[in-house]
Amino acid sequence: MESRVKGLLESWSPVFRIIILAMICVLSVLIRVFSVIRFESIIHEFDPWFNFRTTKYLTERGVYAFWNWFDAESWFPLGRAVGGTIYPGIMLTAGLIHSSLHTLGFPVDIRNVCVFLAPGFAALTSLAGYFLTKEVTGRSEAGLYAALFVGIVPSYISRSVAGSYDNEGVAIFALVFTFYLYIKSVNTGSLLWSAAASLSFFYMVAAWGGYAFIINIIPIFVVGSVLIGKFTTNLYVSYCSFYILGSLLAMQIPFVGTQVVTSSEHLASHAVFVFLQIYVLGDWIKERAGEAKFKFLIKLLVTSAVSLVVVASLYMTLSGKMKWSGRSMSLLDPTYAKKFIPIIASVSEHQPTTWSSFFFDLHFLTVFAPVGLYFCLIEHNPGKLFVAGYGILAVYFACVMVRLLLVLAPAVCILSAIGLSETLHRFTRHIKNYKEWAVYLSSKPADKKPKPEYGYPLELALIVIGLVGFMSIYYINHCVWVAAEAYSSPTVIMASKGYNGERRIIDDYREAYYWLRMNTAQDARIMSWWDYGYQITGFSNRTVMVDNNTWNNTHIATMGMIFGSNEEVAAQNLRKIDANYVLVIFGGLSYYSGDDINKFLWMIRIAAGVFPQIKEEDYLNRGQYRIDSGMTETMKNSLMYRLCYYRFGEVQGHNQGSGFDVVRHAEIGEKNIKLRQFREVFTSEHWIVRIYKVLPEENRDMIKPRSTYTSKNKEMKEAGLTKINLSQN
Amino acid sequence: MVRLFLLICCLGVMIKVQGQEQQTKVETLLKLSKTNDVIRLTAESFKKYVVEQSRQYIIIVFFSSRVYKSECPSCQALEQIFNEIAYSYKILGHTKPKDQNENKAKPVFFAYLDFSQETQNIYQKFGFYNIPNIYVSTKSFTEDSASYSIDRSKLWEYGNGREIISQKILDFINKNTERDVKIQKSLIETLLPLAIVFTILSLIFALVYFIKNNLNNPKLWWFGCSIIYFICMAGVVYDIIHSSTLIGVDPETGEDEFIAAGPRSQYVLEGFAMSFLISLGGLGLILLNSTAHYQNSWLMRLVGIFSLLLIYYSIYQISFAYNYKSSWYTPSFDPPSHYIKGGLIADQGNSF
Repeated sequence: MESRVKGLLESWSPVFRIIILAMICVLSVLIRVFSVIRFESIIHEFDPWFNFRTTKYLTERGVYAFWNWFDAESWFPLGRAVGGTIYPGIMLTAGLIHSSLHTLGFPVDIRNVCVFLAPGFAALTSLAGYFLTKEVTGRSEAGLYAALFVGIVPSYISRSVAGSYDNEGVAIFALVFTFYLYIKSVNTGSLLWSAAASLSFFYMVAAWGGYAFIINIIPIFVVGSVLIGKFTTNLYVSYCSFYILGSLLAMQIPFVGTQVVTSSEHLASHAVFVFLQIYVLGDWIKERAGEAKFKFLIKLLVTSAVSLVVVASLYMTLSGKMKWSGRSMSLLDPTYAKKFIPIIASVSEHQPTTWSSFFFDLHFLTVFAPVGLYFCLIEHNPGKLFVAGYGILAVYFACVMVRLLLVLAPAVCILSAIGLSETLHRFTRHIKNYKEWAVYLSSKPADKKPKPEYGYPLELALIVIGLVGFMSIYYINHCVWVAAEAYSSPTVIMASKGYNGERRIIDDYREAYYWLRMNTAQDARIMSWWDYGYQITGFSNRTVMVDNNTWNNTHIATMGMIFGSNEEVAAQNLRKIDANYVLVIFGGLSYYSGDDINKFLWMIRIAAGVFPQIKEEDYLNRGQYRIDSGMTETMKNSLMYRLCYYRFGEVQGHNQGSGFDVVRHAEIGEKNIKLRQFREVFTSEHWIVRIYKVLPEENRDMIKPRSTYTSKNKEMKEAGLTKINLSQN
Repeated sequence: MVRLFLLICCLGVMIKVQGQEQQTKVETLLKLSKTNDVIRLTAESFKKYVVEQSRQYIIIVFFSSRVYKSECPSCQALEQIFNEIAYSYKILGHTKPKDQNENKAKPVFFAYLDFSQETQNIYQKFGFYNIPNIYVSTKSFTEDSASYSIDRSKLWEYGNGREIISQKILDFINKNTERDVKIQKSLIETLLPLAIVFTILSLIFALVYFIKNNLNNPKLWWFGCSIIYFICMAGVVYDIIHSSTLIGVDPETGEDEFIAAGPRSQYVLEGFAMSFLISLGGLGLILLNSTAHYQNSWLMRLVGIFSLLLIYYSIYQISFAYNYKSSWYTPSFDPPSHYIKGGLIADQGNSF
């Protein structure tokens, strides 16, 4: 009876597996749809707006037009050659899905395809996580656990909620899938799997600049395997074929092109390829020359090489031919960047990670991962060693830069899955083998048989299963909460809570962009800080001076200089660059701290690097950045100050005097601003977006026909030659 | 006529005396700068060499405090840069007097004025609210009871938003001394990065050599990986870059604080304690799994329960610490009340 039940369950296990996997996929999608349920189906943040705009162009005009597209609406008057300056993977994927759906008769709007693309790919990433874990452990339950963890891990959710139409959304799938195919090729030694891994790598290169992680981690794994004596022909075949095909394919992406050969990011892959050939050659020589001769040869080569490197380094350093760059110095001294390259410290995504960021984005997986690491290393095989290496390298990178938690997340999920599934596997064995355990316990000491393998006391087994279940549920609870509360805001729409707990929507951005779209000329050029460039072109379909691509520092510095100059100089420069409108973001009325006044010092710093007349100290009063009566004259006269605080002096604050800036907690120093060169044309409901028209230049003082005529007439009158007189004469 | 002659004689004597005094000052400063790149000033010598008349040199004064140096990372950073610039000026011969009167030909000396009771008055007359500061004194200036009549464009004042960047400080000093000096490193400083690299490589090779017989030992790999994991989870890079302190001080009560407020900051001890708890939970799980090999079922129970307690303790403490740091972190199974409002239906007609 018992064996029949076991047999039945085993025969149904593939069905259960598929059902569980399907449910995990559904969960992976649904957890990312909070943003649509709570807000609406809209593209989020900044970069996704560019991706969306290019995808729309692709679907409307086709692939060739997209590839050759010169976008005149951005970086005016320079423009941007889009095809050669992007990773086209996400656009081509969305375009393909859109086209397929239309072919099948589903008239889905491209916006909805873009909005739901990342959640769809999250489901695929779960599947890739399942396959990779199953490949390295040989156990489906570990794979299922990995699929669940990967599908809902907060770090990945942060970049793949519905509406987050960004490269990372599809790239994480490509990353995990490439690793799966590569491990498959190492395990089988099959050229076919290697080729598949190269193709997957090609997709990754097309999708995200983070492909450099793959092209470095695989060579590190190969070198590590060789150094610990795990070199196999499979490893040789899989790496060489992957390296050659992968590098050739990567070169086909115009944005990458020859960087495959010239960039230091690819250096490790080339070096390891050469190293493998030397290693194989060395093996061959060893076989022919014998052990002793070979050892002597190696010693000779190593000593010569080390001496050569030391002498060459000393010579180059002392002669000044070899200089340590800031980046290299940062590796030796982590405080170097802080002291000498402060801009690194200013970017929030590039900040190093605190323990709490690890916990928020990975939760209990941080506790489970060391267990997986233990089992991967103690009971190792090539796949497990790869996962362990990936995990340790990724944890180091994530420690240096918070953004790289995204790369760490799949590794930690897989390690945790391996650890937890091993624990469950051991403790549930008891329930399967309870008879053997009962016999062992009831037998007399004299007749005692050896303890059954994986036998645990029943109560202990139940407690452990309960604890693992509890921690898993707690993890899921955390993930759902994080997805709903922390990572679902679209940025362009903001929500706040009123006094009664009711939700208030702040929709100023869209209101302003819609105004631009409906009330300005088709070829109007909008000047703003670069942060809003992608959104203006995406929402309003108007030309911008700078955008989030930030490729041209001089152009951005010009915008900073204009914002930092007085009205006359700013207007003169704006007319020179043919700008019609100026858009500023102001949060002083609505507690919106991410406004332009708070970013202004960075604009000044960037401008100061190009325009020597802009000096940061001119905007600081004894080193303090102020907007109240203690501000400097330069600050008071700057275009940014005048446009942000224009008419703000008329606004009576709640429990404060007029013109009280709630973000800076200060009453503004200049309440009666009169604009001379600009006219206010739009201010959004909460004053977050303010748009001004650049007025045309006034007539020059020298050309005053009336006065000239009068003076001429006067001269003529004095000479007795008036008009009438002349006619009379 | 006689009076005029006497006046001219007096003026001549005065000019000569002044010239001699100038010469003496330059010689003294030159002598002092031979032993130290940066000359230490007292209130008296400050008055003599910086404030008073009669001189043919430029003196650059660094205002900082030795007592508060440990609490002032900016002072440390700027002092290092200032010393480097002083060394570069000296090594390139800019401290030697020349026969010209222009600023760009005058010898340049670097000095340090420590904040103390004695020099406090000087700081007040400069109107300093913060340290560190630098003043490039190209000519003497007058003083009254409250302030000095200095050229403020030659003053580099530290304050909010002012960055201590080596190149910017050098540019400021070069601009005011009318020179184009580049940072010169000493032989030791030049070779230091190379020496660090070689030392690290040698240590790695030595380590590999000593453990070569155990290189294939998976437990050793796990130990190494665990150390890396522990250090990274502690947020060591964050601590180094942000110069985190071991523990903090509560700004309201003034008492010691072990957990920093907000999820994007931490203290050194806090990071290591949390990483230890994370590792402890992991070790608990490993210990739990290892009981499979025990022959004694009671020992198995005992170690099993101990492992479970370790795991529970670690996850409880980590969750508690995180809740303490982020008051808004309130995960629950029930959706928050404002969710019942549903989607954004009235979207003001702005849908694109």
